Amino acid sequence: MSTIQISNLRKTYGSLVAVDGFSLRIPDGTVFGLLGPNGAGKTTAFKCMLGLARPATGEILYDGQPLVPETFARIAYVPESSVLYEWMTVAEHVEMNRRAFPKFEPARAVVLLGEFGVDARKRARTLSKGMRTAVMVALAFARNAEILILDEPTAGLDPVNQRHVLSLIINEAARGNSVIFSSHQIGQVERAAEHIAVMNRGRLVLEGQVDDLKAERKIVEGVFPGVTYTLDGIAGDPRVARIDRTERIVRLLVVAGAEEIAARLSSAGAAGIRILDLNLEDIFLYAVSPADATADVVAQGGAA
Amino acid sequence: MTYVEWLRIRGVLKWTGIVLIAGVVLLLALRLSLLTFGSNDALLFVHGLETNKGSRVVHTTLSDGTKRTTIDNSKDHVHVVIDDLGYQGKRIQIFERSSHGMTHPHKTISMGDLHVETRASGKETVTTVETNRPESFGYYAAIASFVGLIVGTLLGAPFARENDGHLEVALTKPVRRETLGLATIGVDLAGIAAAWAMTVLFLIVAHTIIEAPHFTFGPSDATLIVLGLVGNAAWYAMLCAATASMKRSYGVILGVAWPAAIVVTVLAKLQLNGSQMGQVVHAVVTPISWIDPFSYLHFGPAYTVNGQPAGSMAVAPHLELPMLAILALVYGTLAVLQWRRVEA
Repeated sequence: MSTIQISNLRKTYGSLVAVDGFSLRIPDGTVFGLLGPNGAGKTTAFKCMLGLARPATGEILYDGQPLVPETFARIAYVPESSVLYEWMTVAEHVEMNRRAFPKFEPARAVVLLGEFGVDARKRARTLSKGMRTAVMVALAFARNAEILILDEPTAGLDPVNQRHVLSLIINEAARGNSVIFSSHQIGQVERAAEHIAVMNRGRLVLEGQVDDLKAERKIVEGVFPGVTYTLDGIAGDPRVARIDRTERIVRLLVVAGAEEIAARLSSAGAAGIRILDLNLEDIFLYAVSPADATADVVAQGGAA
Repeated sequence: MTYVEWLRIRGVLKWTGIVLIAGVVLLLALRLSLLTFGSNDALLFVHGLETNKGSRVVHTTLSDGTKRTTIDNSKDHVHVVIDDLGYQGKRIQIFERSSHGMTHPHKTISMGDLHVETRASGKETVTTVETNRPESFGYYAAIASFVGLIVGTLLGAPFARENDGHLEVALTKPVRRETLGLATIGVDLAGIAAAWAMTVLFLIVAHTIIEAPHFTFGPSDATLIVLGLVGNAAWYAMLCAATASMKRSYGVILGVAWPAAIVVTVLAKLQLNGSQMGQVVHAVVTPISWIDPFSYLHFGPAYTVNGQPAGSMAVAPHLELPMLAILALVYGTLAVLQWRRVEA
C-alpha cells in the first residue's frame, strides 16, 4: 500500500502553464477520481507523477520517497491514448510485460483479455480504439501493482466493458491497492471513486471525499417577486460559494449551513425556497464553470 | 527490458535473410544457366574467341586430369590456353601481340579471387587470368560490413521510435533510463553483428556455388573485420545520437544519412585545388568528415591494384580504428544522454 504526496507541482510548456501549484495527498487503498475539463492538466499531472514530464517546481513522493526506477515495479499506468506497438501482437505485449515487471501475471492478463473479448494473436494495428484501451487496461491490472494510474481507462469501450473496468477498479481497491483515474464519465467516477479532485486550468479547484462533498454542498433556491432585489449580505457569507441568477430565480451554492442560508434568503424577500441535493456532476460543473456570469449578482448582493 | 528491440531485430534479420537467400537462389540460377551455355567454358570472351571462324580449338586432358583447351587464332594473332581445374577454378593464359605505347609492362589486378596479371615482353603480351586464387577473408568482411551498415541504418533510431508514442511504456519500466538506453544499444549492436555473420555465411555459400572457396586469413584481415564491426557501431551510434530527441521525422535523418555521409567523405577526399569554390568546399567538409564514420571505412586488402589497396576512403589510415572507436563511444554517450532527458 502506498500514499502519494504531491506538493506545489508546476509544469509549463513554453508560455503555457499546464499545471500550477497543484498539491494533493492520495491516501493508500483508495479509489481516487481526478476530474477536469479538457486541457485542465490531468494528463500532465499524471505524467509528472510518473517522471514522464519534468515539473518546473514541486515534489512527488511515494510513501515519503521520491520516484526511483524501482518504484515502477509497484505502479501500473494506462495512458489516455494507445501506446501499444502497432506491429506487435497482443501476446507479444503480454510477453513484454512479463519480462519487464516482476509481479506481472501472464495468466491473469490472458483471462482479462478474454473477458474483454480481445484475441491475443492479433496485431495492435488491427484493433479498434476500444480494444486497444482494453488491452492496456488488462496489462495494467495483470501487473499486481500497488498503485494504478489510469488516464481515461474507459475511453472507447462499450458500456459493458466500461462497467467491467469499473468493477476491476473497485476490486483493486478492495485488495488494498490505490487506483487514481481520470474520466469524463462523471457517473463512473461517482460510482467508483471515494475521493475526487477537480482540476481546472492547471489548478486544483476542489478536493475531498465524494460523500462529504455531496453531504456538505447544497443548492438553496429562491424566487423573488421582481427582477430587482437585494440579497441582504448573503453574498458575503463565506459559506456561499457561488450565486447564479436567472431573472427572478436565485440559486446559491452553499458548502455548509444550508438551512440557515435558506432562512436568510427568505428574509430577503424570496419565496418558494428549496434546498436541493447535488450529484457529482453538479459539483463538478459548479467547480469548473466560469464565474463571470455571477459577478454582477455578487456585486449586487455585496452592495445590499 | 529490451524485448521490443529484440523483436525489431528479429524483423530486420528476417528480411536480411530473405534478401540474402534470394541472392543465393539467383546465383544458383545464374550458375545453372551458365552450365548450359553450350560450352564447357563460362567466360564470354573466351567463348566468343572459341566460336570465331578463324580459331582452331583443341581439347586435351593432361596427365593430372586437368582439362586443357587451346585456342589459336592466327587472324587476330591470339593464342589462348585454358586449364580447367574443375572446382579449383580456371587458369587462362592469353598470348597476343603487344600494342604500341604500352606504358605498364607489368600490371596486376586482384579483386577477390580473381587475379589478372599482364606482362609485356618484346612484341608479345601475356595475360594470365586465375579465377580461383586464394583470396583474403577481408573481402568477405568488407561486404559483410557494408550489409552491417545497412542494418545499422534500419535499426539506427531506437530512441526516436520509443519517443514516437511509446515513452509511457518504455520509461515506466523498473529500470534506470541509462541502463535501458545502453541495453538497447547493446542489443542493436548484437543484431548488427548477427547480420554481419549472416552475410559472411551467405558469401561462403554463394562462393561455393561458383567454385571452391579458398581463403587466406592474416593480420590485415583481422584488422579489417574489427574495423568493419567498429565502423558499423560508430555509424549506428551516430544515427542514434542524431535522432534520440526526435519524436517524428527520424526517417528523414535515416534517409539522408547515407548520401550526406558519402558526399562529405568524397568531397573531403577530393583534391579541389583547381578552383576557389573547390577550396572553400574542401575547407568546409573536411572538418565535418572527421566526425563522419564513412571517412574511416575502406575495403583495404580486398581490392588491390599493383599490390596497393585501392578504393580506400580513409582520411587517416593509421587512425581509422581508434577514430571509429572514439566516434562510437562519443555518439553512443550523446544518444544515452539525450534519452535521459526525453519527456512524454
